[in-house]
Parts: sequence; C-alpha cells; structure tokens
Amino acid sequence: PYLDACKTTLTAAACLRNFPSQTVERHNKPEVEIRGNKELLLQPLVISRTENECLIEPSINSVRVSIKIKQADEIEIILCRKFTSFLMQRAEQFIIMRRKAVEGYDISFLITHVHLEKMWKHKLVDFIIQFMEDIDKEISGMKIAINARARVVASEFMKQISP
Amino acid sequence: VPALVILRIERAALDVKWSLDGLRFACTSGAKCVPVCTYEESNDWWVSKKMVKKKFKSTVLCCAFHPHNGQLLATGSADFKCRVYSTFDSTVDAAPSQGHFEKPLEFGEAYCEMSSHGWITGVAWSPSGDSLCYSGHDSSISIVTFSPGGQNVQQTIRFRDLPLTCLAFVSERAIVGAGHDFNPMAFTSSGGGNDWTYFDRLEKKKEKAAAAATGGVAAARALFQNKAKLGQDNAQDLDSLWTSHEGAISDISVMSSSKLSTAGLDGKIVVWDLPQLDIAMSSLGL
Repeated sequence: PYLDACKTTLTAAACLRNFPSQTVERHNKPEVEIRGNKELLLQPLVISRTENECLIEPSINSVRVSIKIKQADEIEIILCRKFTSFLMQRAEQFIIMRRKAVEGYDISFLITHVHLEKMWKHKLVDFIIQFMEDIDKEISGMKIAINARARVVASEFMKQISP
Repeated sequence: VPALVILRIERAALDVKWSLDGLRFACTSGAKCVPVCTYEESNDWWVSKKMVKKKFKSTVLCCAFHPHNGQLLATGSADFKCRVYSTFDSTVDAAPSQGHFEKPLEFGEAYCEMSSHGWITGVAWSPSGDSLCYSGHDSSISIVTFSPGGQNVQQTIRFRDLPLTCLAFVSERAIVGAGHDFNPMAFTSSGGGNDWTYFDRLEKKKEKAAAAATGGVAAARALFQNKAKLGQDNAQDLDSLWTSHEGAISDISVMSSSKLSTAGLDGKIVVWDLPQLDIAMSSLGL
C-alpha cells in the first residue's frame, strides 16, 4: 500500500508539459528547481511508512522525487552514504537522477518533460518504485556481506596469534 | 509564401489560432499577454497592433475564437482563470458585436472570468457558440452556457483520472477530451446545457481470448516458455499498454462529423471513427 500510494501519486505528478520559462527569454528550465513563480508549482507531498519517506514535488514541467532510506544503525548509515554517493556520481548515466539529494533526504530524482517524451511514463514510474524496493534489500545485503567478511578476516587473523 | 509577423512578445509563443472569419489571429505567449494580429493593407503584412494584456498573472496556455463571432476570444491561463475577451478592432470589424453578452466592450476588455483549481490546459467553444468548455489540470472540466441577457450557467465535472490537455466539441451535446491518460473520454448532455456528465472512454480494453492452460503438461510448458521469453514466471501483460497512444495526447481535432483524430507525445496520430467504437452513438447527438 505504501508503494501503491507512491505509484499513483507519481503517475499523477508526472503529467508534465513543455513550458518555456516566463522569467528569462528563450530559456526552458525545470520549474521545480527554479521555484520562481508560485503559480507554476503544485503541492509537495510526503508519503511515509515508519522510517522510509518519499517527498514528491510536482510542477508544470518537472517533478522532483526524494527518498529517505531506513537506516537503523551506524554501519547502515555509512553504507547508505557511500552507496548513494556512488550512484549520484554516476548520475549522468541514470539520466533522471539528481547530483545532490534534497536537504534531509538520501537520494533525489528530477524528471522533466524531456524525459517523458523519450521514455514511457509508466515504465519510469515503475523504475522508481522498483528502485525504492531494491535499495533497502541491497543495503541489508551489503551489511550481511560486510559482517561475514569481517568475521572471516578476524578469525584468520586470530589463527595466527593463537597457538 | 510564408511571411514573418512581428509579435512584440518577449517570451515564448505557446498557442496560435485563427478566428473563423479569417480577419485576425491570436497567439498566446509566456509574456502573460495575447497579441492579436490583423492584416494591414498599406504595408501588405500582418501586424500585431494590439495585445490583450489585462489581468493575466501568468503564462497564457491556450485560446479559442468563437465560431461565429470572430471578436470573442476565450483564453486559458496558468493563473487558474479562463477569460473571454473582446477583440473588436475598428479597422477590421464593421461594428462591435458581443454575442450573448450585454454590451460590447473595447479591445482587450474581459467579458467574463471563470476559475478552476488547476492551470487551464484547454478551451473550446461549441459549434453554435453558446457554450464554452475549459479543462483544468485538477482533472476537471467546466462547461459554461451563455444565454442572451447575461445569465450564465456553469457546471464543473471532476473525475478521478489524469488531467486532460485538449478538448473538442463533436456536436452540440458531446465533448471529447484527451490528455495524460492516453485514452480520450467523452462527455454528453441531454441538451439544454445543464447536465453534462461523463459518458465513456473511446477505447476499450479488448479481452484477450487467452487459451487458459489447464492440465498439468500444458501449464508447465507455458510456464517454461514464459520464463525463457520474458525471464518471469507469469505472462504479465502489465508491461505493454493496451491503449493506442503510448504518450500523453497533446492535441485533438474533429475531422468530420463522425471522425476525430488525436496526436500524442509518442509521435502517433490516431484517427477515431466514432460509429465503429463500442459506444452508444445515440447519446452523442450527431
């Protein structure tokens, strides 16, 4: 239900159209980043389930989706930071990803009408929902792998010391 | 031979329409104004002498001229308002005429103003010019019927689907709108202009007569075939869209009394032949 709510909100928020800038001649900017004109922005919406949060900020030609990942302990915080910075440095390849996350969130996507013209909207929405599902799994998978490796390393090291 | 028209706007032009008497055309722009251009004999070119500027607080997204009275221009803007303006120009028109409104107004004065909770994405007049409908980004359409004597009747319909981006009157009693849902929808009224309701969508999902794999062997084979083809366990048909359009529909136009065509952001133009679709034609009032 959390993911369904995110999906329907995202489909509705991603009804974008090409909109040339009102403030600067011959420019076409994503209005959600510029935030110059109040009438072109729609209500931002936060969907949350315990610690996972999803902030959706729509506007007339762009949508910004920011995700906060559940981080229970220290090691998950570090893992999450490294993982998201790895992804964000390769934001070019992702096309829709934003290079810096919005304040208070871990990762952000910026979808503009240009992306919708090239890619299917329902597939884009499905991709983001899939991403939200998988990122939790990946981080817990990585944590287990780290713990397993740490255990192996520690036991090898100790074997040398103990008789 | 294409001739350049200087519009004197400082921002982008978004929508342009001819009036049906061919005497002028209007172009909506991001500069919060609508230049109206008329032909000047002395210089043999079209020029925008006057601009409708009043009251727009934001980009004007769409416009439509009245079908019979070329002086009434309806505009829809991103400041949530739809307004009807007078474009009377003494050099071109013989006399000011105001349709159903009380008295004629000067160029650029608004006859009336109607609002919505979302940006006004599409505006259209009915073939007789008695009704005007506009669609808002809050998934609503509003129909206003003008009658002589200045009494306007306005009705707003809100629906649960994604907003419409364009509208067209198919007949006096039926409107077809299309938008982000990839599937045009029709609204009808029973005449009299007071009871427009959502009628139907133009495209229906075809039930695939899938041979249900009953029996152990056939089901197992189907399972492995799907796994090999799609890498998944079930034949999911959620991935492919069942509608003709795969991108948001951006424009709609009526070709003849029973056909309309829609153009979408997926690069497709689809022609809908109304009698052949599964909808009850009698309510469309054609």
